[in-house]
Amino acid sequence: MSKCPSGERLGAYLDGELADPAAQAVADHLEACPTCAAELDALRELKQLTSDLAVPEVTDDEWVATWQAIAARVTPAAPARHTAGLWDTVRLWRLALVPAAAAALFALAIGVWGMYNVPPQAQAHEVVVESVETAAGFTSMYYHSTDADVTIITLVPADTQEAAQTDESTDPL
Amino acid sequence: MVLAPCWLHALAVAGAPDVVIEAIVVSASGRGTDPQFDPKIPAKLRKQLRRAHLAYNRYVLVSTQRRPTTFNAQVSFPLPKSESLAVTAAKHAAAAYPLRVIYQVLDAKRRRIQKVAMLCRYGQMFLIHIPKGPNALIIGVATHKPAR
Repeated sequence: MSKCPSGERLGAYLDGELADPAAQAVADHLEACPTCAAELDALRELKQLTSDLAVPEVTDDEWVATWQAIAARVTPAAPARHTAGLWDTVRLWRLALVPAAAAALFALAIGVWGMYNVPPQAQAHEVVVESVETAAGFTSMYYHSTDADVTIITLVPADTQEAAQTDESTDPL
Repeated sequence: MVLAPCWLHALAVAGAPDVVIEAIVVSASGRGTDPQFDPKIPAKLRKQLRRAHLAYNRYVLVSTQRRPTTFNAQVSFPLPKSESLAVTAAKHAAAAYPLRVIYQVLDAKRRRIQKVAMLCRYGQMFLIHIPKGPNALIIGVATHKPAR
């Protein structure tokens, strides 16, 4: 029996994304492997469930407003000006000590867990974004899915709403 | 920075390109959960767009461009509405990420609106998503080894 295909490959098979020879190889394997056949059934059931979900229609205005809200949340706010005395500083440090220690322990635990649980090839799948510079009036967002090996860098004008109102033709072409 | 004359760059590239940079430009419009793809969109980009779940309803191919070039040389790809994309590929020492790719999105007045540096592998495609109101431009960029 051939080697079991990965979950990603089974998903691609289910979505009809595999070329003929690859799809045939998976089909042949599924006939001989009840474990993979069961996994494919589970994927099919999940796909059916998600396709049955009623997705509300989103208007263009709502879509534009969503982008604007996301852009507003990821844009760093200007640092607040505050003049603290020495005692304020000490008290702040004491207040910060407990959560900082908890965060350090948590990070250590995640690190140890990660060392033993990350598949070795997964680390080499990601595109590593080293730096992003964006002009004033724009915001950059970065999304990566290791599972699907998809990296998207989005460049959003901060005044999307305004631009949509002033420029009647929003067709990118 | 001193730029070499373009004929010199062309000569160097004509000799032995180090890489081929590919940029596939697609326009996206509408909203929907079952997107329609222009059949001219290459399969590898179509697959990435499906998996990206960007919620657009229609994807249409605008252009497919491949430019052979040398390491550290900038190549420019025209985008709709006089915008452009400039891409530079350089060698990187890490085996897992043999390439450092830097791209810049320039507006119609040649002003830089985004510059991103990233490490990636040969053939690995990433997507640049530029919303334009409710629609968007999506550019799939990949750096390949030249065919020998």
